Amino acid sequence: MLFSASSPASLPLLVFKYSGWAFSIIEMIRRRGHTRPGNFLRNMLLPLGISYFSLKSVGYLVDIYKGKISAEKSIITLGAYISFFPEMLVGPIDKTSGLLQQIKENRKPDWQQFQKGFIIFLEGCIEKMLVADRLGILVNTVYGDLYRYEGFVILIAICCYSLQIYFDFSGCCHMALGVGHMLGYELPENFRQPYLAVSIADFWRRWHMTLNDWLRDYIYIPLGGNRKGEFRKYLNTMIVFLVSGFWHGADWSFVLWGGINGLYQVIEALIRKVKNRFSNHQDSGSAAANMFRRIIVFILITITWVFFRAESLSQTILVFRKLFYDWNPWVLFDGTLFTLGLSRIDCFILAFSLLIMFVADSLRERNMHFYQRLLKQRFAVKCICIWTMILLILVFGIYGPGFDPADFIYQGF
Amino acid sequence: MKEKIIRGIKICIFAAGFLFLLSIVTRILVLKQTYKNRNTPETEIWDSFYAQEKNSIDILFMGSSHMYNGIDPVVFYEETGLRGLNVSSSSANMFQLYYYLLESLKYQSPKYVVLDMYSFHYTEDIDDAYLAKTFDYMTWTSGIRLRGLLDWANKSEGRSITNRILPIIQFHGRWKELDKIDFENYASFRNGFIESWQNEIIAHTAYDSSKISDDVLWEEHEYFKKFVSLCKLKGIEIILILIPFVSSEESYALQIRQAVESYNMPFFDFNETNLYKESGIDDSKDFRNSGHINARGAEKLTRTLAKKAISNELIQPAASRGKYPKWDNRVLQWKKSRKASILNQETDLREYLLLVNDVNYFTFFSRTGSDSIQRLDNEVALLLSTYGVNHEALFDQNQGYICIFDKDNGITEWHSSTGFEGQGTINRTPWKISYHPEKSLSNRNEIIIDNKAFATDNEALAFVVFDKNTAQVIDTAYFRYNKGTGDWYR
Repeated sequence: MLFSASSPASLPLLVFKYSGWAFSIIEMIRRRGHTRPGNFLRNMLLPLGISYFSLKSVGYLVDIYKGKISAEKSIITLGAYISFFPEMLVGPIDKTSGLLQQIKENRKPDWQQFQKGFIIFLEGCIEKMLVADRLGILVNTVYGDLYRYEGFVILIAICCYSLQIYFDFSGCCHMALGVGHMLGYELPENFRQPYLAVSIADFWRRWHMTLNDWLRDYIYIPLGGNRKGEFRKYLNTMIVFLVSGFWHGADWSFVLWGGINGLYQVIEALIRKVKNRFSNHQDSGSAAANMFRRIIVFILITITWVFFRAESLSQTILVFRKLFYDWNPWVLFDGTLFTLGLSRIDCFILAFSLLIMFVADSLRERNMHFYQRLLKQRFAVKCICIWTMILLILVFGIYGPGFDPADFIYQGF
Repeated sequence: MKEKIIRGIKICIFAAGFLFLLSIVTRILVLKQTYKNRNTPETEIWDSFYAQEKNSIDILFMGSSHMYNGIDPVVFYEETGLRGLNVSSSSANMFQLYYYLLESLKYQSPKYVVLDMYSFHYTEDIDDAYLAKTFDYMTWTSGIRLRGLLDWANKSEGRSITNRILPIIQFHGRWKELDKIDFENYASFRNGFIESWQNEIIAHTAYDSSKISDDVLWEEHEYFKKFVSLCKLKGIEIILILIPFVSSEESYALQIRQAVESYNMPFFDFNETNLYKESGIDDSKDFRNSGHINARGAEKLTRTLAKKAISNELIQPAASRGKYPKWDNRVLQWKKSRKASILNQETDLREYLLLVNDVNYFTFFSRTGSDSIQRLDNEVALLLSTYGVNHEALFDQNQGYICIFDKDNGITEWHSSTGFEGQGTINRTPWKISYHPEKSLSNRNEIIIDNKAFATDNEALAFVVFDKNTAQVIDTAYFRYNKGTGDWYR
């Protein structure tokens, strides 16, 4: 753990990302609550992808330290692994046993892999540009003027944000995966239909899987994992989630986000333990029961995303206050939804796209992937489908003058 | 190896198919520039350009909005037998016109180019908005579009042509506002001439040819020189002109004239006194605004230009007419539409009555119950009598009155105080008229043609003019009486 934290690989991350925040805390303590942020440090430019390549670097060094791999002699190979461009902005965070080995094998793409990669890339573009960015318009409209909205409008906005962050992140990861495949590299999946999770633990086995693997391998297990008793297990879980929150951003709201998710895990584990002690009944996992669980998980996770989205703790508090300020379900039917930045037809496209995404996720859950079915089709069918996907992105995508193609939510980390 | 070849072919088919679909979608989404919706006609001009058969044009007319409003290729054909195409753009400078010429020469082999030199007034660089107007409606096939965009990008650092190479980036959001205008083709038999019948009375001061301006126009002329060189290379004769524009910009006209004269090329400055007089352009009728002549003025100017070019042996008129039936049909079409346009613009009641008395027209005339009819002046009343109108019935406000003028078959009248109906067909188009005294004043008279109602106004004399040849209503006019001025106005 200490090695990870103190290794030269973590230094850029600590300096560029956290020093400004650290100084502002020191200042706050020194001035007894009156802050004068270290402007120079806070205004420092962040190197692109710093959070991602830092973790990869730390993982690489620790794997050498533990003897899992030997040090790479070629600076070019190592550089290619650390800075593999599809993964730079939003991951996935690849392991040394994955991408590094593939780079050393000097792989070349085959035609089938290239097609698969292209289709996955287009899927990612659809998730990001048709769905996530469209959701973002509504979310930004509400968050941009919180004092104007309350009740169900806030509820809609926070639910939309839950979907937005998923499709944004998942879309970008699929784009990265797609490009990786096109170049001949198999990159790991980062999401496994997280909103179909039936518990908090299940959710975190499906969300940002590569980050969670990294935290497990380089923080949780070195701390002892679940091998040192119940209390240590829960403490380690809390530490991992606090670190995860910390990694996401240099702000108390992210730390709080991480802490709440850790708390969810701990409470859920305790509840399961109590339930198992008092009941021999094994959960049938009926469709209705699972649907109910999914809804509960979605609600709980959505609550944490409020901390994630808000620009500050005070804004988080404002969101919750406004959420319960008014009981106004009629806003769902009286046309208010069409005044939140999206026109009627945009809302229709969004609803239709979400339905398609839901169906796609449900099929993926059964290991049925669109690209697999498409690759088996005749040339003409493949052409028509791919042309349609590209034209859908070009016509209905949210992009263009004023749009910053690098403005991914997770790129900020 | 065979597999690689097949894969290569498949990739090419995929790419070609995608580019084809992209071009269709882009065409639909790109902002249309038509005279009607945006006051600039680039979409119309390029649709007309690409609708021409290859190598079917003898003369190009190029310039700014002065040119597309000022010279009518159909009229020029009537005068000379030379088939013309107007390839112009609003506020076009020589950079734009040079690339228009390059694109034109990929599809046509003209013998002559007439260039309006108002474009000398503009510098030879353009911003992104004009870049879009210049190139967005060109096809990619000839390569001129890409060449022009790269030329523009290289003029200055930091210029991006991404939106011009893929206009869908800029216009894809228009899918929400698509309507009929985005799916039509605007090719017109007027071949790039944009007809405007608006009329503004202006005061044009023609200047003496010896007048000199102290100001000097900028002198680079890089693209004008390229334009001239290209024409020389292709054996194309250039005729320079300056179309009339209002005298408050006299210094521009003088500067342009002085700059052009330095090139020692055939030049007709229609702002100059003698030529202006020779053209017969009337300040009060032939301008649509201070910068542009209207369709009436364009006809005069085009005929004058044709005659001057022939008499100065700058162009060789076609040896015989009838060689191009399509063009002869265009002339006929133009004449018919000109008539209709003049009718649309006529605001004098007497002149209007003279115009509708035409063998090609079937004119419905309805007089409402207003006492204004008593104010009809004698001249008009006399004219109506010559058409066969029953004077007594016309002036009796207690009766409804509707009639039809048909020069071939005379007048058919209906008048009654108790109500009447009539119906028939003209060239298989059904019509029906009726008068119901029990209804309100504004609904008593009704004229229905081809199931479309033309309601009459309770304060007006109403005309509905049906063109027998096109089987369409070409004009509806309501003339009301102004008690204050004592005039009938439209």
